[in-house]
Amino acid sequence: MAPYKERANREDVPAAGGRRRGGFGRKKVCRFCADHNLKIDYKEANALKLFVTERAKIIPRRISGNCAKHQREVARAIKRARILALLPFTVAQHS
Amino acid sequence: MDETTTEVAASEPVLGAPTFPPGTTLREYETIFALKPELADEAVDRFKERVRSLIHREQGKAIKFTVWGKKKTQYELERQNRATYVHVDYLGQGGLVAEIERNLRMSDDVVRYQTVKLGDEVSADKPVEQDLKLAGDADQPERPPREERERREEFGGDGGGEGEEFESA
Repeated sequence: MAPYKERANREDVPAAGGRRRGGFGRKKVCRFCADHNLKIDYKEANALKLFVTERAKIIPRRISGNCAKHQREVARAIKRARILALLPFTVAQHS
Repeated sequence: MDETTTEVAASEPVLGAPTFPPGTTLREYETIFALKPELADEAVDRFKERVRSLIHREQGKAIKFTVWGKKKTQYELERQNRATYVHVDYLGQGGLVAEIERNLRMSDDVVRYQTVKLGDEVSADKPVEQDLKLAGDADQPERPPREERERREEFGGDGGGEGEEFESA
């Protein structure tokens, strides 16, 4: 019982809306909303790699925690970077 | 290929650039194009100047050219894994983009291009910036072929006695 209580009192959990689905996990915050200095730029492939799986698929916002607006921007940037071959469309898997 | 640092950049500033009456606003665009990797530095510079004169001819204003250098591409472009990227920032009307893209499409040296609009009503007085030349990530050694890597790993690990099963077969 004690570990559960500790978890609920953790400082990094926001007071309101901090717990979801019966207390598992932590509310994700859109990192672009939290830090306005972060820019989404299709020319910065290394930054966009954070939002792409190993197989080069775009990570859904339920996982990445982006808000809808920024997820749209990230997705657009990834697609633009793919056209210029700065990011892959897909990654061939070795058998 | 040996490094010959050619300092051609920005010695001839806004030659042939059109002049705009005060208060003129234009759209701002950026175009990135990828050139074939075998193109020498001078050829890239020549291409750059061609695009610059094209922008000026079409009543646009070239703001900045950045040569990103030879970079590894994430998939093959015309059977090559490298390309020289050039980024152009410029002001102009919509017709200018069509003209630039038409020229890029016709050139055999261009393997990819993409234009993005950056702003709608940008003052034509926007100052011209100096051209930049970045190093790129070109001449890093390639990873050894797969079989060679595996062989190396084999030597590192322990044998593990798996060989016996094969012997009986």
